[in-house]
Amino acid sequence: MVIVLTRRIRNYFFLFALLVVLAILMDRMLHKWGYPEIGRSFGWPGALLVTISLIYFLRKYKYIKIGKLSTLLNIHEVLAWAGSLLLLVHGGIHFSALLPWLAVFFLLISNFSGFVGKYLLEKASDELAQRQKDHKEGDSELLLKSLEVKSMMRWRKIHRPLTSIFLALALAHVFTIYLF
Amino acid sequence: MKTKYIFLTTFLIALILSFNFPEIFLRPGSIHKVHEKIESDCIKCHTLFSSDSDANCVQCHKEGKITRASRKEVSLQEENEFIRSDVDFHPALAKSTCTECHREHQGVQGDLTKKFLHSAIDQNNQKNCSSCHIIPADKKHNQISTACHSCHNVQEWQNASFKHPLANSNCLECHKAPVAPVGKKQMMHTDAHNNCAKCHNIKNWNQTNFIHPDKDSKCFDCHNLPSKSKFKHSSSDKNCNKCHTIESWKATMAKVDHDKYFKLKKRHNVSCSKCHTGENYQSYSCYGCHAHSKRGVAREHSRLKIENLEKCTDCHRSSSEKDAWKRYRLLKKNQ
Repeated sequence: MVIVLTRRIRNYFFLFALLVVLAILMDRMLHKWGYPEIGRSFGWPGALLVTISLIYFLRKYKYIKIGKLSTLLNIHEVLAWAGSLLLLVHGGIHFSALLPWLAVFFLLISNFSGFVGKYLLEKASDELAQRQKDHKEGDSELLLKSLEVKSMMRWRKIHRPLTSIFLALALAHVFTIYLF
Repeated sequence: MKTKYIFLTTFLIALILSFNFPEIFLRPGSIHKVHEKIESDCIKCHTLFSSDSDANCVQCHKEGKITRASRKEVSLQEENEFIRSDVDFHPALAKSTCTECHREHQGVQGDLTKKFLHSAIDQNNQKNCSSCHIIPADKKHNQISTACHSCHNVQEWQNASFKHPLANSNCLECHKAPVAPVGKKQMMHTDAHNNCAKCHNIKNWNQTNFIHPDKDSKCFDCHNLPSKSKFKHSSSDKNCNKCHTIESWKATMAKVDHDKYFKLKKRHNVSCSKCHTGENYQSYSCYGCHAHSKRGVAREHSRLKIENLEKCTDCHRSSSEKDAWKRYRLLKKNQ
């Protein structure tokens, strides 16, 4: 069990590190080839992907009722990761204006938090499978929810504010760009 | 605290801070040192809720005065020696958007100009390279009268690709005809009647195959008369063929039968100018060397009562005194 969890953590950490390394590499390459404008133009596509990924949030809290929750969760994970990559390349490694850099910082924190949530969810699923194996409990979905509530309630209290701070900073960034 | 309140609070705080401290929260990079006076005045360049900042640029940078020479911080030689210093191509720009070529916030010593795009200039000026560029005054370019873009392109100016037209093309469409009087070359070019291929070939311009007109032609149609000080030519009657050949001008065929006048033997075998001191070969003087002083000659000839002591060759046709006596007697007899 311990080995499985450790490997899982390693995988998530790898995905997070890949996001950062890939963003740095893409930024450096575009600068080297003389096309930094391409990187800068990744802002809108990145923002679009992140926005689409928030459909899961709407479905989760029943603002909409279309789509399977687990499928939307997968889409949320993929789009949020890809959108974050584009936004990081868009930001580049230019330490100048504080507002966009705060947005980038909270983007990374939110991503990291997302991987923590993913890990906690899978850990709950594993616990459920173990209990079913041991006690052959009937209502597995109910049990999963109870396990999920326990482990993820506390995580969600952190993930949602972090994400909302990122979204607020990103929106402020967009607003100020059009202001000047 | 509910998520939506966190979102709204963060958004409002971010905006308030951005408005109050734009140089910290919004400025994407330091501005160039030339703009340091307006560093903290964003509105000087930016217009709120408008991406068009060109109107603000021209408030300070007046059109028609944005020449390279006016920008004292730019070393013209370092930048490009072939761009005219007084050039102002801005009025010729098809699209007059400053930010298309210029950018700020690239650092205190950042590059204010992105890569210059020729495509931004209107079509007429794009073809008129010399309106901005200095035409190189080297030998290669001096020959060419065609437009620059027949060899160069705006993407890579240095790597000019030149493919010479065929030999039967009209050379003067590209090459300038020699105009200045340049000695022999000019003579030849006058005669060529702009038919360059008659002598030149496109592979090696300098290696000519000039065919000289036959010897019956008038040499002075092409060649200059030698100056009068060159007494060699003073009595030639402009008949060059008497001494020269068309095969080799320098190797003269001049063979004067000097024995008819005086045999140049032994001590008399000297350079022409030793005796022919004037501008004409027909005049001479035997005086001047140590053996023939006027006084000595007069003394020697006094007993013969010869008055004209300048016409030595009337009697003397060699260094032999015996021959001189013979001619003297003959002359006396004929008198």
